[in-house]
Amino acid sequence: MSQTPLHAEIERPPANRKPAPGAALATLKILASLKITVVLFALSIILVFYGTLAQKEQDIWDVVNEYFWSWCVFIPNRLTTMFLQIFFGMPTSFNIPGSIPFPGGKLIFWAIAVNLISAHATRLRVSWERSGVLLIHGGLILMMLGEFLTREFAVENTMTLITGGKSSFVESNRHVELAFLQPKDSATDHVLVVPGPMLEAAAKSGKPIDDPRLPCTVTVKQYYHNCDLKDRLKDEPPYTTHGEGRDLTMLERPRINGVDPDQKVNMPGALVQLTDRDGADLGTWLVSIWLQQTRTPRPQKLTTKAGDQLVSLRFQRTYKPYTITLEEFRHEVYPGTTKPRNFQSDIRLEDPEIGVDRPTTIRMNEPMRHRGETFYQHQALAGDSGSVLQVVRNPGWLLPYLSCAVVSLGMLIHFGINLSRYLRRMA
Amino acid sequence: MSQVPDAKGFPGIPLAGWLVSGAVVGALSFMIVAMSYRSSSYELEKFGQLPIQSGGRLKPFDTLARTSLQVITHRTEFSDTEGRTRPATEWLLDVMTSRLSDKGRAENLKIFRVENDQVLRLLGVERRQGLRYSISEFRERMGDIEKAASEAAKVDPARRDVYQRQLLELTRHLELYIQIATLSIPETGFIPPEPAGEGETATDRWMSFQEAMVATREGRTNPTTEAFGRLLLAYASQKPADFNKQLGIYQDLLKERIPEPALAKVQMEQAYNAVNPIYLACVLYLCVLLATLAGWMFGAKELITLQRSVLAATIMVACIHTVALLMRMYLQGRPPVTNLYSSAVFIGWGCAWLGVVIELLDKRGAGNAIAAVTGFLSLLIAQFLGASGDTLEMLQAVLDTNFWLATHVTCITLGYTASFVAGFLGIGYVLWGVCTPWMSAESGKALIKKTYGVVCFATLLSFVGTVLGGIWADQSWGRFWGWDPKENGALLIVLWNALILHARWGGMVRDRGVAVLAILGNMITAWSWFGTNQLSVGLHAYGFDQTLARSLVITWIAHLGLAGVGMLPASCWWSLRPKTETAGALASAKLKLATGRKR
Repeated sequence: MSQTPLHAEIERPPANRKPAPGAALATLKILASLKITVVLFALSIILVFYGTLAQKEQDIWDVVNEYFWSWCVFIPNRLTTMFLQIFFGMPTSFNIPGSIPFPGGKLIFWAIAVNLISAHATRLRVSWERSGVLLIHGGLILMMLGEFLTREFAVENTMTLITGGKSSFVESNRHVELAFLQPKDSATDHVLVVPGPMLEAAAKSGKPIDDPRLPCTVTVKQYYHNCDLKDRLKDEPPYTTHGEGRDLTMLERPRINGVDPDQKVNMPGALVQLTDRDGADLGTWLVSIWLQQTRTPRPQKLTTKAGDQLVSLRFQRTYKPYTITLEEFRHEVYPGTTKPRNFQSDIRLEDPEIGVDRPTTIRMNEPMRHRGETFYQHQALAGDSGSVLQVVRNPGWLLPYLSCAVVSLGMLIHFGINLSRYLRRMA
Repeated sequence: MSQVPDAKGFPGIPLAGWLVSGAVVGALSFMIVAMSYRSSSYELEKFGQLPIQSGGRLKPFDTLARTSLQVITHRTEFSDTEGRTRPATEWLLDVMTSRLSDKGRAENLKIFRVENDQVLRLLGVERRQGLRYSISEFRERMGDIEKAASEAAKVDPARRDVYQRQLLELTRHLELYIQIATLSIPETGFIPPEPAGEGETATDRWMSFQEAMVATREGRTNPTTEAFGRLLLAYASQKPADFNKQLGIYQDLLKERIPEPALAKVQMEQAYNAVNPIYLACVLYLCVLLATLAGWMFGAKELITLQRSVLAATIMVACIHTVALLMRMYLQGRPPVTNLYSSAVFIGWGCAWLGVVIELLDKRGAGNAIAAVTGFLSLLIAQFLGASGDTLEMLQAVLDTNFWLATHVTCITLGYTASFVAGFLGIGYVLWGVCTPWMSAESGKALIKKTYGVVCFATLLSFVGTVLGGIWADQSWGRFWGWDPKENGALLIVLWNALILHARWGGMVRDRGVAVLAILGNMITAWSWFGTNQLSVGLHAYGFDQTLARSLVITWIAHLGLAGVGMLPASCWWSLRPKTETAGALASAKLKLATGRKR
């Protein structure tokens, strides 16, 4: 049996090593077993495989939360039968109910970490020949740290710009808020928002959201994660008593899943009952992202004792100290086709606080970095009337680059040493 | 390790080996290429070199002809009414001029391939050998076909049966035919823009034939439109001399309007199509495989010399493969992998050269066999993948970056390559050990050492490739890792290779175990290459490729079977049985082989 020198020791009889003092070291040695490593690899392969299959039914974010950032996951047997149906032509009527508990990504990750660290503590002594392995394992730890930082601290938002227009806020496309907006003067608005999860909870419990800062009490009658609006038919009763909902009806749609090639986002909607501070009924209202994400957003006007309000369900906004103006948006195609060749936003970035005022260009594969955020060309608005930028803040963005370099170097050294030894033996 | 004391020259290949292999490869190549040549009184090759703008790039009529005919009839040639095999350009001209002449030549060509009996009944034709039918055979049923097709189109794509799918496929083929006959192929321009005059902005968009006709009718005459029209008329009226003359005139006009390098590229593409080096290499790999197998039939004394000569042939075929790859890169102006088709060509290329390296080290034919089997299979897959259209297509905006295509895509594809080579080495080890008595303990170990080396290589490449993909994703939308199906597929390969390495280091598996794990690795690589795509489009069954899914399943089952064979107890391995058990003749054969190797 030929072994690489690094692990050759494992095969040697224990007599060659110093006797292990104490139970702690003995335990550590068991934890450091390569058998455990292999089992953990096998488990992660199964987890990744099912995490891929699950994306056929679920939103990619839900899958990441359930499978890869959890301690334990219940893998439904449905996924296995679905796989068999797609590839092996099993009848769709065949189904096995129930699910199988399986270690989640977090558990496997920590197990690998413990296994790896014990291995280094008990077995792998530092030497030139083992430097490659040290680099590989160190780099991998760095990479997982990067993934952790991204997971905990990265924020992904979008900024929508109409050609010629400017914006100084970004929007999330996963989180929504119910906003009450009161224009104060020509330059400022007074905005109060109710976060999406609060609306969802209120819809479940049936209890009204009653906060003294709000101009009215909000009772959520229905809340849909993904919905469609359609025009009301003539013989249908109006959906709401006030606002846009009198001409529209809201239909629930299934949540988008991870492998949908159209890459759409969920479009939430809600039916809310509003009550004024003095208890007067303000009627039922339909609010939905659909009413906001059109070329002419349609906030609905609500009259309360506290003054006139504009009500809307919108993507969660964050206001920024800088302003971006879209000067020109370019959508180039290959000649004679509709196949896109390039999307490009020519913008002006103004940040008076730090004295920045410059034109710049953001295009596919060429992002702009500013104030720790990175701006990517994301989408074109309908009819190329404007551009959507993806704005990402990720404090861990450098770690993957660093760890990739470290691990690659480690592998080159380790396999290089092996290869040169092999070739020497051949000669 | 065995040495070849008498071998001289480049890594031990005798001069005679080079000469014999060169002569055989040369003769076979000449035969294969010459067999596809068809003479004609029309200068069809020259016509095939003429450029059009299609799918956003300039390509020769030859490519349009071949890809369209491939889609409709599953071949790049056709049989005319007298049963002679004719080139695709002739068919294209027949169809393009079908409305200019009343001879109805194109309508009588049996090119529409129909396999389903129900569809045949709908067409009102009898099942016949070759399964190809002409429009004139079912012209009267056109109304019925249309009606049935629109019914079938209403059915949810996921629920269509074989009849409905084939009927819709036929209508798509008829549609393509009509588009060519009316010169109105979408996204295709036939007439190049005139040089911009003063005060005009230059355009790089070619005119469709309709636009050109409208312009002519409105009095904006364009010399190229006229020349092109005369060319088609000459063909329609069956005047070869006139056709060839008009061809010359049209070519001269193009030379004034299109820059020389672009024109040269289009001509080169036609030459590439005509030689078809991918097909050539595919056939030659098969010949190499046969030669390797034949080599194994001989005794050990001759084995090394024979396999060295076969190695010379392998290198030559791999060079043809390399030329094909380089030509494609030049034509497209891109790194080697841009779509699924090119990934197959590139994986085959990597496998072949890795096989050559293994053979240089091993000298017993294992490398030759790997190069031949993987080269042949991957090019076969490529032929299949390329059948659906243009393989040199333009890239979507996000892929328009030579840097990432060159680094990430190339790296990850080489990772797939190495994983496949390791898998095939594993298969070789199992078959050699189980089905033959000839695997000595030492040579088996040597083969597994190579497998181990290739797995190391695969781990490195697939890891670096995967991470580079993450960095590309970070560059283009700010997310290093998104757990999407394709990324997960790549991760699976890295994890699997890491598992093999750690299992071996930990002593959990030995030679046979490594072989079995490497074989199972092929299943994972196949999943990442094709399976994940199937999963994402499986959602909308119209993009779901039944044939591809079925081939994938067959691949999986075959590999499971091979892994099962590999897990048989040692007593079932012919080569591992004690020598006394092996019967007379075979024992002496093995002995002969073993003594030969010890030299």
